[in-house]
Amino acid sequence: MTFNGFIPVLTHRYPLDALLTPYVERYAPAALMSAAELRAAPGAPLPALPLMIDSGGYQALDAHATVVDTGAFAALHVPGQAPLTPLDVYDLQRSARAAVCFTLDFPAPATATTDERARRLHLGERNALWALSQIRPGTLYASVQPGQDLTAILAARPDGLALGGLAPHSADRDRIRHEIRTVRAQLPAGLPLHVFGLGHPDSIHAALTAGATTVDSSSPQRMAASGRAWTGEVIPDAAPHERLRLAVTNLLTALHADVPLALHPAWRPLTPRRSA
Amino acid sequence: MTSPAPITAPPVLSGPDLALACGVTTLPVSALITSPTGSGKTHLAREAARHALLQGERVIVTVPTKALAHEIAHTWADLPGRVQAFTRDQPSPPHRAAHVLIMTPERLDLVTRRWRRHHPWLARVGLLITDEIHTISDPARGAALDAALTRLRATLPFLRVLALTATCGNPRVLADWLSALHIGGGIRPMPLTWTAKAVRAVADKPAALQRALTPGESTLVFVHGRQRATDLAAQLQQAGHASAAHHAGLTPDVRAQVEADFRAGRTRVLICTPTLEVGVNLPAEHVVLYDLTTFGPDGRQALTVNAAWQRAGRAGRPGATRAQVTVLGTRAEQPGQYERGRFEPLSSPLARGEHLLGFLLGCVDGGYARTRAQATRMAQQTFAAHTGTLNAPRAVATLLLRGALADHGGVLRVTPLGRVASQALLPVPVVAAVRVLPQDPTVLDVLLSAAAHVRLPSLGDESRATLVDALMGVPSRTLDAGTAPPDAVIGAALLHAATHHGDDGAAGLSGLHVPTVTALREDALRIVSAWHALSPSISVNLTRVSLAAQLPPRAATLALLSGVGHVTARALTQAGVPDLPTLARTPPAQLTAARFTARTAERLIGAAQAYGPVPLAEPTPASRARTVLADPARLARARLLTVTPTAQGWTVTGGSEARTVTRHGDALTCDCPDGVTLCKHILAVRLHLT
Repeated sequence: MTFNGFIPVLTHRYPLDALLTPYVERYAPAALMSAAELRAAPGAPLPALPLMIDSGGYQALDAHATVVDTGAFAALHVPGQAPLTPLDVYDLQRSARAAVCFTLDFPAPATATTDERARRLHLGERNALWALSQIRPGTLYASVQPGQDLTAILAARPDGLALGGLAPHSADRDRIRHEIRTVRAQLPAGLPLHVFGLGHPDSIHAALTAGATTVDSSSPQRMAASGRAWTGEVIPDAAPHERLRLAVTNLLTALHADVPLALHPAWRPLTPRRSA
Repeated sequence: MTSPAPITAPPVLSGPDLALACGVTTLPVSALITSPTGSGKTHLAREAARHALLQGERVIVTVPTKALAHEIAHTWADLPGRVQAFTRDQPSPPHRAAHVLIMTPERLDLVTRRWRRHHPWLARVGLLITDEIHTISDPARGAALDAALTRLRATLPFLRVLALTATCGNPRVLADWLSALHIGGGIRPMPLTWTAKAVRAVADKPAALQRALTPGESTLVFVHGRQRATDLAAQLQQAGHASAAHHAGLTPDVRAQVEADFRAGRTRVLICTPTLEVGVNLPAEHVVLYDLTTFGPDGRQALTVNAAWQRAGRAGRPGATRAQVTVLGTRAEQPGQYERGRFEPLSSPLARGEHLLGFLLGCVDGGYARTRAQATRMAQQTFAAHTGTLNAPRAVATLLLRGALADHGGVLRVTPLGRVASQALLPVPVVAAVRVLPQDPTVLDVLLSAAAHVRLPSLGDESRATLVDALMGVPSRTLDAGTAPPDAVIGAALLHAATHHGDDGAAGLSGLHVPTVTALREDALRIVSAWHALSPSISVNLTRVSLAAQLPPRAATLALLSGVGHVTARALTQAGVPDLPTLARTPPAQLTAARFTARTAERLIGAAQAYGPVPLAEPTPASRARTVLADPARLARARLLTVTPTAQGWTVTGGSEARTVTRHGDALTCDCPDGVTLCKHILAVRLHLT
């Protein structure tokens, strides 16, 4: 199963995500959730639409996170949490009936040494190869980082590729385009390419025009939580229902969907005749 | 040479036809349709609902009454989705499964106060059809519609509103508020023919009415009161007309029968109250506007043009040959003014009195406002603000003063008192009154306090006395202290009667209509339930159960058990189990002999044993006897009786039967079957002796 365009991220942690979920279900082709989120809230209701289940490897960016080589694959250790292994990710993806799954990789924080960065890339690749050799719980994308050698992974015939590491450079659209084109040039025609963590409409546009099939982000909610919409509307002390409206506006903007008239700021069918 | 084909003028469309032609039912825009009754608004609404359902959206429909909600749910059942009325009568909330939910503004008001809880289904609503939107001007109920629409539109960014009315003097203003297209006009299939008949005095109206009636013609006569409806219907019957009264005081069964008789032609003249103005669909050939003046809190008020046309709109039965409207009025009432149809502009009462406080409290309770600025923003979205001014900061200050809101560093939070008031749709002072209940109150004390906050229907002196008699032996600290206001005593007596004899019995004792008693009991139940939610106590809980199940407090103790409703409680009573403590001691065989299953019997008895004792407060008879004379209602009843000394004591007459009161030492006893220590006859003797 493949999708196109923007895929919103949902979590169980934020009330605004819960309020936005019905609109995601109505307007988005799929939603992305993290295996780590699913593990933190077992039994919580899942959105009623196809799910892309990320591994939760983004937690490797935590300054105190460590990546441990266990032999067949590598596990992520985050203080205060149980280790996250590819096996855990596999089970969570399967139990959530994921439409699209991602392998567990380990992005490195900016402060990481070159050796640690290389080690994480290597272990992420090993996890991908392990996962690709299993019975796949759903369509399986291998998670990779910019500049990574894709030879071994592509040889294992993934259903798609997922490129991380671009979120810190979201404002640098030229770089986004460059990195995506570089990866796309190595892929067989038609293989889906997902890009993690891009939410600004211009970044989404840059990614998709450069060859990405899908991109994901929780930016619509995060923008709305701060009382802002990409349409320019700002509410400094937005109430929950106002944040929801901003989030819906942002969602539709990210989806490049038609904004319903009711939401359009110019929609006034009659000349206002307000009394004093 | 052939002659050219005749040119046919295109049809001129307006109202619902124009709306349909413009695709209003399918376009993603809100619309206000103002067109006469019978011009097709309901068809338009149905088509809009059908299209929304086909798009995968859900639909909410607001109608003024519960009865209409059920009627529309029935007539729209063929839509491609589950259509259901959402009223308090539903055994379980239907909102999760239904695709079209029909409800009153009050219900929608409550839903929006809990929007986060309802959000999973509410967010799927794409269309709100609000029928009879002119009721937003209703002084009593308009605020709920304004509040509900304002909150719902704030909650649902994509909501389309289809607002319908036949009478609106300021459609552009209303459409602007709704950000809606306005389509007006529309043609009645059967145009109204108006006739104004002036009478010299109100007393001449009955004769004028009889002259206005055409034998065999289905006629609705609009009056303002239930009693007037009943009297006029009887008067017409005597004059040979097949007539009946139709008003909210009829029981549902009787009302349904009256409507069925009218539809079938067995009754030709229906004398009805304004309930039918927005009530069930009951068209006629002829409408008579009989009462043109009302008496409200603001004194005499003329029937509005809007209301007159709402009533007149009932004329024009489909397929009828005429749609006649007759206006009967004195010269002062200007019966000729209505035909011109200059509708009054709509305005919302939300800015006035308790309405604004209730709206803002609901906004904080529902999470729409956490700051004064947010509260003000919400208030500015109302129709009341759109058509006038309101003072939100002052209302917030009042709510803070009353303890319904608390300010935590500029962040407003609803207090437990405020939350209960908001969820019960009650004014804060009414809920706060639980705090001034007497210490260790009895059930009657709770009823007396609740009765002080309900609107009491008018009762005759004899009915009042009969009702109060029943309170003579009922434990009450408030009555014994003589501090209960007379009206509260009457109200409590009525409620007491409803719990002991059911609404039917209380109606029989008081001379009121059963629905009037039911409405009074339900109002009291809402108050007592709010008190129980805020400050649970055994007396308040028992009063709540007693009012809900229409059972005396002793039997109501059975319904304190989880899963035991009034039906089971009554069945237990009939099985010889009068109360909860007795149930705990009852052998299972006694229940199985009364057709309870062995398993149910075991469960009930076990639950009663686990419940423990029910501590009921009961003042001592001595204190009752000493202070009850201070109660004015009891004194009034006793003063109606005549006391005649005899050799054995006294004969007391004036009641249903003569009674004998005798002295034994310091004590007086009576041979009446009341079985209380201080019956009205003994009171009368004491009055006689003093």
